[in-house]
Amino acid sequence: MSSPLLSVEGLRVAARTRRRENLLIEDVSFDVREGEFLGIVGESGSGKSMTALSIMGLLPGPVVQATAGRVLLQGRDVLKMPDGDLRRLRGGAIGMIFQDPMTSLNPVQTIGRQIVEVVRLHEEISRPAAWERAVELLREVNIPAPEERAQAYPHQLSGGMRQRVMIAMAIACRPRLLIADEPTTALDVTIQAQILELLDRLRRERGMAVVLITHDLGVVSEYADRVLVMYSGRVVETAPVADLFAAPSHPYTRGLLNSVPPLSEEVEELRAIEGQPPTPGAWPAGCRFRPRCDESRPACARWDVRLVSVDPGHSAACLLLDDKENAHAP
Amino acid sequence: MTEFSQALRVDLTEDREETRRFLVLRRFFRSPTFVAGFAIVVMLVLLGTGGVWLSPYEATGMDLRNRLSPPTAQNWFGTDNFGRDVFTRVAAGSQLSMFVGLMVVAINAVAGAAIGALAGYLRQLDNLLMRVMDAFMAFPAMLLAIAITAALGPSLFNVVVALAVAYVPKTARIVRGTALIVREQQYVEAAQVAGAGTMRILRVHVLPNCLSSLVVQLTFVFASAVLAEATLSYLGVGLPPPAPTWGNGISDGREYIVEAWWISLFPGLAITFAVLGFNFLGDGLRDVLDPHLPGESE
Repeated sequence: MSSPLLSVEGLRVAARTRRRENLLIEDVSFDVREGEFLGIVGESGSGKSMTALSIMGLLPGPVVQATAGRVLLQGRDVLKMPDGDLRRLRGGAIGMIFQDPMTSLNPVQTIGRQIVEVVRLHEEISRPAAWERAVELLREVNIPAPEERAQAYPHQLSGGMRQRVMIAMAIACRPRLLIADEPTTALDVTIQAQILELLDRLRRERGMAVVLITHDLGVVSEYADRVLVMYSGRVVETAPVADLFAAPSHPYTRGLLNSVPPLSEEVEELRAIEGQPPTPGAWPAGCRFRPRCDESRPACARWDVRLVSVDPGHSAACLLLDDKENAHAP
Repeated sequence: MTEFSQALRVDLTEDREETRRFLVLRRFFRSPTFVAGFAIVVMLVLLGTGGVWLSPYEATGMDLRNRLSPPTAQNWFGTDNFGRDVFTRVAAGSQLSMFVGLMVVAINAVAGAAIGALAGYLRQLDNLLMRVMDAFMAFPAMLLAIAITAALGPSLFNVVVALAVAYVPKTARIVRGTALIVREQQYVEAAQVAGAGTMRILRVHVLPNCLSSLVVQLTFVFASAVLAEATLSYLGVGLPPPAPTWGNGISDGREYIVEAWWISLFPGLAITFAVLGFNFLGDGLRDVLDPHLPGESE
């Protein structure tokens, strides 16, 4: 198999204050292949967004910095790139869209001009030609009457339309990777589906990889090829989407799946996971899910758990699995 | 059929564009404070340009046979102790005041906006720039202006410099406050993600979105500058005496206030109206500009 498009290796991100260092992400590794649809799932504070910002080289330094690991995009380490290269990369090879389309567009410029700006940041192209491209992009993201809409200001568009405009801006320079950080959280359910369909269609048509960050497992099950489950700054399970739903191996993943209402049957009560996720800096020793885990044992507090392969392409970080596989004496 | 609907659609959008502009204008003129301020400012400008042009007198032309004349048909606002026509001097003073106000506002618009936006957007510069601004703000603005004109000598240029130095820190602080809010907006992050550099983000995203608060602040700076210029003249550190500034007018009339109240009263009224007018204008602008124009979403 060819080398992956994006390869995150042992990434560790910390927030440094004068006194101490709070870990936000620890030992996160994963690959994204060309054209792949990867879902990253986790609660707030699990490090999903920090992972995305690391890939863009946009961690809010000097306080928050990547302290270890590599983020290889097409073989080059993003974390060590000079500023100029990083700027070419952002919007060039990687596009990104955000959660809130209401505030993602500059209110004092027409959307056409904003797309033109992005195109002209990366390509030597005349304004009229860039405008043509903007209209073309708006058409590609299914905005009706794109010639007229290009002259509209953001406040004249609905939330769904604005998110489409954001997508048009993100794909303006044909990125190989599109990072979508909770792109549908602020939208109505029907619009959500349309936006996700659009992302999926663009991925197929353009052969670009999509990393979808979300806390919605339903969304992931429908569109993603592979899923990465994060908890407290760590990857706790990664698997092809079918495997994850058929055989979740980490107690946290099982808990998440149990808390999703099934469509097929009536359920009296959803089983939520007890307790709250720990805040960064107050992580318990050993397995971080231990305090909320039904299956925890004393040993869970003693060892840092590594990802263990369950099936080909499917691994999880749980001591129970480790025991089964290695059966090593303590 | 399709051609027809196409034509219709184009027509509609053009119409809408025009209606939109009309609506924005109407929003301004629906605010009574804005209308009042606008009217007063227009009257002052007319007084400055038309008054001097219409008057048969020179602002510095003396007529010693006609000293301390009360308001008459020939001298609407009376004459002062040198027999100069007070109306002409007030009108000429309006030109001077407007000029000083405009220059101070222009310097504030450039320097205040630049310093404020840089400090608000680039956190590394914030402490340095704002501490310098704080140092200037630690002096009362008036005292600082007096000190500067006293040191540089009284001239139109020096008055403008003194007032600009006195008011830029406040403008910078207000722009910085807005820039701090703007920099947290997602479109700034989106621009970073799209690969835009710092200067580009400042120019395209931060500054235009600070504009409404800057414009409002500038109208207040204009009012303060007019008042401060008059104060400087009155205290004798502004434009030196023959110059027909409002402050000089009040100062000239001080000794004759009992017999010839008109010498001080009319320049005083002019100052009052100018300050009132620009403050109204600013209040009206704030009412209209501050809540962003609500969307006509479709």
